[in-house]
Formats: sequence, C-alpha cells, structure tokens
Amino acid sequence: MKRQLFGIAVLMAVVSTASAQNWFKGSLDEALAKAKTENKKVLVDFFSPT
Amino acid sequence: MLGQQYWENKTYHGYFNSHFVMFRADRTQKSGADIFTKFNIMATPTVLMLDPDGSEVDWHVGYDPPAEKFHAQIDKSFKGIDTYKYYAELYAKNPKDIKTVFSLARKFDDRYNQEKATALYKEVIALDPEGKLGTTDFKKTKVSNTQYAEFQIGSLALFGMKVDVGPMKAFLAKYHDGEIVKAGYQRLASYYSRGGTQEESMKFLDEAVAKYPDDLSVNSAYVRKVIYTKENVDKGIERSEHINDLAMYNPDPSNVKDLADLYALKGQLTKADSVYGKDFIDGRVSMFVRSALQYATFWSSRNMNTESALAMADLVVKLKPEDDYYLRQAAQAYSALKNPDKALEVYGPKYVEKYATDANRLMGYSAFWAEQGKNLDGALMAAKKTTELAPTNPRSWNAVAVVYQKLKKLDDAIKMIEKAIEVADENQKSFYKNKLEILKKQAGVI
Repeated sequence: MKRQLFGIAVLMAVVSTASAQNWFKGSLDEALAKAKTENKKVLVDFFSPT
Repeated sequence: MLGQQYWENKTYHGYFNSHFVMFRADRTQKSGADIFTKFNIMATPTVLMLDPDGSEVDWHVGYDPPAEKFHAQIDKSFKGIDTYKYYAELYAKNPKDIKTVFSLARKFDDRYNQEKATALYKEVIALDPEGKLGTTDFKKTKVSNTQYAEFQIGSLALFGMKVDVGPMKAFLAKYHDGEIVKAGYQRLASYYSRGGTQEESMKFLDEAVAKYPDDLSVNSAYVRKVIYTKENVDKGIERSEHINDLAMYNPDPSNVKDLADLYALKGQLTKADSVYGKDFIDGRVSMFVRSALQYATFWSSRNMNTESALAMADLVVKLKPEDDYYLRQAAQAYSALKNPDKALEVYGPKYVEKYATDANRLMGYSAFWAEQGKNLDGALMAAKKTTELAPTNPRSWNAVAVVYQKLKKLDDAIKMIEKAIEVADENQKSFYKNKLEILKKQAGVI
C-alpha cells in the first residue's frame, strides 16, 4: 500500500499529476450542493503534488 | 500513481460522472489545506466519499495497483458495502457486536485516527478477552481479532508526538510466535533505531536480533542505531555484514552504505571501499541498465508506456555506449517503438564507421539487421567489409551469405558459402557443407 503520512515518512511518496478528469471548480460546499441537486455523492481526492 | 492509473483512466470517467461530483483538495493550496484540516487527513492519497449533507460515507487511504482493484473498493463504498457509515450506524444500534466494533476500529486505524481506533480496539479486547469470537488475516496467517487489536494498539502508540512503547512491549510479552509477533518486533525495533534511551533500546535490539537473527528489518534497525549513537560499532558491523550476506546477490544499497558507515566509524576506509567503492556503484549501474533495458523491451512490443520505454532505451544507450549487446537491444526497442531513425542512429552507419576495422563487431551488426529484416543494405555492406578484414575466417563469408539469403539472393548466398568452405578448417567444413546443401535445395539447384 503506497501512502505518505505527513511528518512521519512511512512509505514512498506518491505523486499525483495533472489529470484529464474534470474536477469540480468551486468550493466543497458548492460541490455538496451540486451533489444534492444531482442526487450524487461527492468523491474527494486529497492529494499533495510533493 | 493514483492520479495516473485511476483518475486519468478514461475507463472510469463515465462512472465518476454518473455517480459523483468529483472534488480535489490540493494540500499545497490554502483552500485544499483547509479541507485536509477539516477532515483531519493524515496521509496522501486519501479518497473520501461524502453524502450530499457532508457526512462521511467511507474512505480509502493509500493506493495499491492495479486500478481495477482500487475501483472495486470505490464501487463497494458507493454501494454501501462495508463502509464506515454502515458500521457506524450498526454501532449506534449495538455497540457490543464485536464484528462491528472491530470493523469500525479498522476504519479509523486506516485513517491514522489513533485516538478513535485505539478506543475501539480496547472495546474489542473487552468484548473478547480470550480472542475466541473472530479472526482476521495478517500476512497470510489468521489471528484473532483480539490479538490484532492488541498489536495495533501497540503499533499506533509508536507513532505521533507522544510515543508509548508500553502497549507493544505488553503485546510481545503476551505472545511469542507468529508473523504478527515478528511484525511487533520489527515495529518496535524501528522505533528504537532512533528513539529510547541507549540502555533500553540496545536491550530490546539485542533481544530482537537474537530472536530473529536473519530478519533484515530488525538487523537494519540495529545497524541504524549503532550508526546513530556510534556505540557498539563492532556488533553493528557484525549485524551489517550478516544482512548484506543474506542478500548477497542483490543487497539493499542502503544496507551496504550502512556497513561502509560502520567501517568508516572504525577508521577502516579500505574496507569501506571494498564494499561500497567503485565496484559497488558499477554493479548497481549495470543492474539498473539491465532493468531499464528489460523495461524498454517489454513495453516497446506492447504499445503501452511507450514514452517511458523510449526514455529507458535512451538511458541504456547513454550508459552503455560501447556495449554491442545493449546497443542491439536498444535498437530493437526503438524499431518496435516505430522509431527506425533512432535505431539506426545508435546502431547504424555511425557504428559501422566507428568499428570499420573490427570484423567481429561488423559480423554481429550484419547478423542483427539480417535477423531483423531491416537495414539490409547496411548489413550487406558491413558483412562484405568483414570479408576484407578477415578473409580466412569462414564466418565472414557466412555473414554475407546470411544477408543474401534474407535478400532472397540465393545464388549469391551459395557463392559466399562456397568461399566459407574454401577457408574453413576440417572441423568447420561439415557445418558449411550442410548449409550449402540446404541453400541449394532452396534455390532448386539440387
């Protein structure tokens, strides 16, 4: 399992690069509001480029 | 890796857009960092699924390829199977169900929520102190949920600002065998490689290497401790030499460097050089070049990862510019990557010009291109050159014959083999006579 724990480097850093996926442009609250309107869930990718 | 293999994978874009509003929190941006804080995210990558009211459905921390496997986990969460929300609701109804409590503990454990995970693991132990009510997998073995809970309480206590070795020591005092016990020794040894008092840590590390003398992890921890404290250097050298012996054919470079560090601490730079000198780095480079070539060869024929395959072929040429084998393999990879110009750049006219007086190299060159069925004019020219350089060597004439055969000029090939027979010694003649017979049959002469 590749993951990077802040402060304590336990495993290799994982770099996520620019994506072709269309990420929501507004705030998280706006994403949640949109999800409610469209009867969807919100999938949040927490990433760090370094 | 998650970005490249999953988020950017168009196979899943339809699925994402059908079921989710896709949101990215970038830790390097203030707005993203605030969301990390809001949800107490401790590691990347973390994928968090939220209901529209903002409540947490489930999460996945880390990424293990392949993407299909990760996608199956996401889809399971989407369908509400074994999610955090599912177990949290069950727990609210029945906090005494051990499976529910254990599953919820693991959810928080995955997310490095030490406080909640530890509290729930303690509930597991209280519910099943004898460890009879359920098992879980641990490194291809089965352990009771209770033993796992005790182990994880010990592991979690080794992280964070306030480390407590007590729970892991209690675990190791209670249990003595199995993979989970070995893992306990490894984790505590890792902590003691930097932390703890000298006396306390060396006492434990001595015990760990005595119990697991061939385990790389505990031995490495021992060695790191010695390098860190600069004490017990002789014992450190003994352990370091041992772990490098265990991995004789492919030692971890960090372990070799540790051994060199220890020799240096003893003022033995000649010994450090013997294990970590030029031979060491040349060997590592050779291993890398082999790996790079294998990678380029593997992907060049499969029309995937072509950019990195090309980059690896370039590196091979750069690192082994004089090695015929690597040049040929790189040229083959370039050809497969539909880059024939590059193939000829590294193993073409310039090569022939450079080795214009080396018959053996030119024979290899002509044989390679004849086998590839490409650059046959160049191959013929190089082969003919070998007959000038080494006219008494039958292999020179054979080299020309091979190219003629590929060009379907069988009459010319036959003439070349007849020349080979002329110059061959008695031991070699039969080989070329057989070949001549085959060629004549192919040409319809006999």
